[in-house]
This record gives sequence, structure tokens and C-alpha cells, in this order.
Amino acid sequence: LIAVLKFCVPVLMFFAAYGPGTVLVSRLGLRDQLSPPEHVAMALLSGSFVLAMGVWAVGTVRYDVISMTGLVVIAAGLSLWQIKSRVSLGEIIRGCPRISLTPSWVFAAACLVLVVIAVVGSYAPPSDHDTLRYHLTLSKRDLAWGRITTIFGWSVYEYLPPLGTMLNRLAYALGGAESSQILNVLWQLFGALMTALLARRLGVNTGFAWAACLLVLGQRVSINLSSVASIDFMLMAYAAGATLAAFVFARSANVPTALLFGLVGGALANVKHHGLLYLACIALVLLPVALRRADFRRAYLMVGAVVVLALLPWTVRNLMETGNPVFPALHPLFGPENVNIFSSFFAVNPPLRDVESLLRLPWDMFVNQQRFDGLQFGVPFFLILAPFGFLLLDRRLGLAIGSIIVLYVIGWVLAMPPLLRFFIPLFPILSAVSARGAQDVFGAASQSNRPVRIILFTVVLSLVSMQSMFLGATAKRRLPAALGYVSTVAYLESRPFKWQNHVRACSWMMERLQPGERYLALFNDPNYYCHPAKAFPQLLPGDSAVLYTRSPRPPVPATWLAGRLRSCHVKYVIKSINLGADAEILTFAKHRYDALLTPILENIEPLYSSPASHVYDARVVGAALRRIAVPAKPPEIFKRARMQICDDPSSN
Amino acid sequence: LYHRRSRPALSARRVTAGTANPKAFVTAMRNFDRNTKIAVAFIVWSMFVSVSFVVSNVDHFVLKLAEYGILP
Repeated sequence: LIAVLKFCVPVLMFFAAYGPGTVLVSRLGLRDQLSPPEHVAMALLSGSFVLAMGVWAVGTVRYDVISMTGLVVIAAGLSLWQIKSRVSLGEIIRGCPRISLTPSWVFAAACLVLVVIAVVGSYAPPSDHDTLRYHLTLSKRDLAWGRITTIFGWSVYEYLPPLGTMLNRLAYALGGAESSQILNVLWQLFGALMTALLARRLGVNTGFAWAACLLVLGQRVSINLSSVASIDFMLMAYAAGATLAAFVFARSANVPTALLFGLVGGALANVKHHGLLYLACIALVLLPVALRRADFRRAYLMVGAVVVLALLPWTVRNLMETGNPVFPALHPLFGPENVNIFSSFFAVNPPLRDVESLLRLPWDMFVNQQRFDGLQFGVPFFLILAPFGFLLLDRRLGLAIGSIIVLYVIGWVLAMPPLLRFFIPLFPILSAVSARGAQDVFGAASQSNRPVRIILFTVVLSLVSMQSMFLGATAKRRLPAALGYVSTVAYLESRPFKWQNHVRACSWMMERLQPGERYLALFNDPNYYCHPAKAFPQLLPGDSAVLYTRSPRPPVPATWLAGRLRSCHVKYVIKSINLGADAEILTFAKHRYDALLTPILENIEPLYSSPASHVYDARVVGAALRRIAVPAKPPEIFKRARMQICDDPSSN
Repeated sequence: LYHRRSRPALSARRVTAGTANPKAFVTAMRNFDRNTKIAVAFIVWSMFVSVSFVVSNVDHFVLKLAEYGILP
């Protein structure tokens, strides 16, 4: 029953988003420009934006189960009222891609298999790198503190655009980690269905619209990142929505279409920085028309105004707290002393530096995927199918879509760490064009001779089989843990996850910590399984002045730390065995005490050891610290003997 | 491993060139109708890309199979 309830939470969130979204979209009077499923999709996208802003507003005052339930119930009530008064279910169903005994049946069934595996896999313990570092950890911390907050220096990820992070917080407050992970699956499915709608706009029939859906869900990165807490597929769904809204806007640029495009585009930019880039690419493609035609220009400027308005809450908050409206991106541009927060990440994953690698990029990103860090595509379906889509598509439409892709790739090369995962916003248009290519190729093949058809069928079958192996590998790892056939510890200590969760040591420590007691972590990143609200602070009062600048943080005197360990009731010190093996050194408050404590811990016997970490008695560590000679001149901040650092930081 | 990865792309090209004679292929294509041309072009292109993909990633697949205990 609990498992079913955890599934119901994200479903309820989508339902709750429909009400406020319909109120907005239906007032634009776009019944003639949008099909009924498109209308519902736009309502869900707009409504989710409103819901996320609601979570942010309410959660800043009070973030707990009661406040979040109240918010969802109000929004769901509005949805019920809207459904009663506006929606014709039959109309929506008639507009959806239908399933018949053609390829669509096979494609839809394959989509269903992928979604079912992803949903079941969501019941496995959280294991993904970013899920453990911040998606769930920040939600868990804020839930413990009772309000959604930001602390400059705690983590740069607190300052990401708010839409996705707030929806994740809502799901976490109502249903925990599993609901957050299922929310991600549902957004992936929603993004895939949006892609099918986009494909219909490119002249793809209903059967191959399901193929577009399958192309999104079947990418290796989609399979690997489905059952985790993430914002990447929210980004994908909004990218599909913004592209669809741009198609509608380009066809007839007027006030309602401009408002719709601005609203969905603004929401896209509120999901992730990449959304801002994708939106800029669409805007650049439409710019020549805006320069040529005065009526289009007015509507175009209106879109810009709505996007700016939608971005105000996030950018103003960031500007006030960090001095950089798009923090943590582009930080060196906002202060002469500021450093590139992701510089060490770029050093580990060097971007493309020469012309040759740039020219080879379209080939390398699909065929030589091992050249790039991060999650990959698997079988290069886009490279195989999209060229046929572009060749057979209307030339102007093909040029516009191709330009969006090229501009985004240029932005990726210039501004982002070279992770293939960051191409997720391009999945909808790549899948839609590829589906168009597949439709034309299979249409031609069906008119062709028998041997050609047999060879083509064999080729496609072998490609699909190859990609199925990636699905099988993910399912084999995740499903036994989700269904309880493999223990949480055995699952999380298996090779890909071993260094990022410390589950055994964290569980041991959490069981023994009494209320008010803390632990000090020497980790490469914060960890979901070690409660973030019980951690001894890695961020000290004097640090904020020099954070993310070239100035170093003042070294911590040993006697000061020994005193704080005692006054803050620190019971344990936990140290990761691979301490220091992380590329993103500045993204969290961490490594503050590494230099001081690492040599000391080498001479202390751990209380508890696991394959990834050791736990030490903080009293023994404190005694060892007191034996170190006091520096002649401790830094100014450490002279304040009564400085409190263990209060709830959210109350500062 | 990183430097070795740049080699398989060349190998893939050789493999594909070895399996198809370009001259004979072009002559044959001229005699096909439009539909067959599209289908054959797709078969050739998809095989070229997928073979290149497998050759380029073979070390990764071997590592993954070893991780799953299928290979030593």
C-alpha cells in the first residue's frame, strides 16, 4: 500500500499542475492553434511552473508534509473544477497518437516496457551520483530544518534555477526518495509524449510518433537516468514544449501565441541553465524574421518580456545572495576575483580545443562516445536516422531545426563541461526528425523488393537488440534491489555506486547518534545516507567573504576545532577512503578540515570500517588535536571564542 | 586507454570498406527505383555507423561484461 501511495504522489502532482495551467492556457484562446493533447500538455507545463513557484513561496516559510499537502490539495481542487468545466476527455483521446496493429503497437508496447522497468526500478534505494549529492540531500536537509533555504557556500546547486528542484522537494516531502524518483520517470514519459506531439507537427504519422517517443525513452542515458531524482527530463519536456510553442508562434505571431511561447520558454529557462541556452538558440533562429517584419518583431519582444518576467524571482534571488544572477554559471564575469567554479571539472574533462575535434564532433559524439565523460546514448539511432529525416523534411523547417541543433552544440562546446548528458534538451527535436526519417525509410522499404525488406528488418532488429542490452544491464542491477531480492547494502556497495554512498558506515553512525549529536564528515561530497542536517558545518563564518574567489580560506587552528567538536556535541568523525578523488572541489562546502585531520586520523584506530569509509571517535580526535601546537597568530575569525557555528544555519 | 580509443574509428572505416565495393555499389544503385535507393542507402549507412560504433566501443563493452562477471 505504501508503495502504491508513493506512486500516487507524483501522479497527484501532475494532476495538481493541470488546474492552474489550464486557467492560464485556456485564457489565451488557442483552441485553433493547438490540438487538444497539445493544449493539455501546455497546461501541464505552465501549471507545473506555477506549482513549483508555489512550493518555493510556501516552503520558504514552512516546508513540511502539512504545508506541502495543503498546497497540492488546493491545486488539485482547482484541477477538479477545471476538468468538470472545460475538458472533454473524448476530444483528448481522439487527438492522441492511436495504437493499431501496425508498427505503432510494437513501439507503444516497447515504451510501456521501458516505463514499467523505470517505475519499478524507482523503488530501489537511491544510488545515482547527483541524486545522492544534492537532489535528495538538499530536500532532506530542508525538510529537517522545516523550511526551504539557501546558504551561500553550502552548495552551488542550491542556486540552480528553481522549477525542477522545487518539484523534487514537493515529491520528497510527500513521498520520500521513491516518489522523487518516480516523478523523474513520469517527467521522462511526459517529455517523450511531448516529443510524439512534436513529431506529429513534422508530418509524422501516429505510428511513427510512438517511434519518436521510443527514441527518447530508449536512449542509454534515458535508461540509466530514469529511476533517479533528477531535473534533466523536466528540462527535456520543457524543451519539447518550447519548441512546439515556437512552431505555433512562428506560424502566427500574435499576443496569445507570444504569451504562450514566453510562458513555456520562461519555464524552460527556470529548469536548468541549459534551458536558457536552448531558448536562446530558438530566439536566434527566429531573429531574422523579427528583424524583417515589424508585426513579428512586436510579438517577439513580448516573448522576451514574458521570459524576463518569469526569470526575475530566480535571478534577483541569486543576484542578491551571490552577486551573480545566473550563479553558479559564468561566475568569473561577475567579479575580478571570482573563479570558474567548474574549472577543475573542465580540467578533468577537457573541452574541444582544436578545429579537427570540432569537425569530428558530430561523428565522435555518437560513435566514439567514450571520448566524453558522463552518460551516453548507446546505439547511435539519431546519427543513423536523423540524416534521412533532414533530407526528406521541408527545407525551411529542416534548416530551422538544424540551426537550433548547431547553435546548441556550439554553446555546449564553448560553455559546458563536455558531457553528452547535456544534449538531453535536443532529444525531442532529434527524435522527432529521426522518427520522420524512419517513417520515410520504412515507407520506401515497404514499396521496395523483398530481399531489401528482409535485410532492413535484420539491421533494425540487430540495432534494437544491441540497445536492449543496455536496458537489460540497468534492469539486472536495479530491479532485484527494488523488489527486495538484493539487500540495500549489497546493492549500494556494488562497483558503480561504491564510492558515492557510504551506506554501511552512515547507517551505523545514524543509528547511534542521539538527538543533538553530530558527526564531522571528511567526504568528497555530502551524502544522502549521512543526514545532512546532523553534519558539523564545513562552512565557517569567515568563509563567505572569500568563497569562489582566488583568496584562500583561513586555515583552521587545531585547538579551535577541538573546542568546537566538544561544544557542538560531535560524536563521530567519518572519513572516505578515497578522500580527495573528486573533480568538483568548489561545488560544496567540503575539504575544510582535510589538511588538519587526515594526518591525525592515520594514527587513530577506527571505531567502524566499511569498504568505502572509516568512522572514528570524535573525543579521541579532539584529544589528538589538542596535542598539536597552537599557531602564534590564529586568523581573526578564530579568536572569537564564543563564535557559534552549530546553530541551525537556516535561522541565520 | 584514452589514446587507444582514437584508433578504432579508422579500423571501422577499413572494416566497412572491406565489406562493400564502392564502384559496384554505385552502379547497382543507379538501376534501383527511388524507394529501393532510400532503403539501400539506409542499410549501408546504418551498418557503417553501427559497425563503427561497436569497433570504437569494444574496450568499453569488454570492461562492462567483466564488471558483470560474464568475462573474466
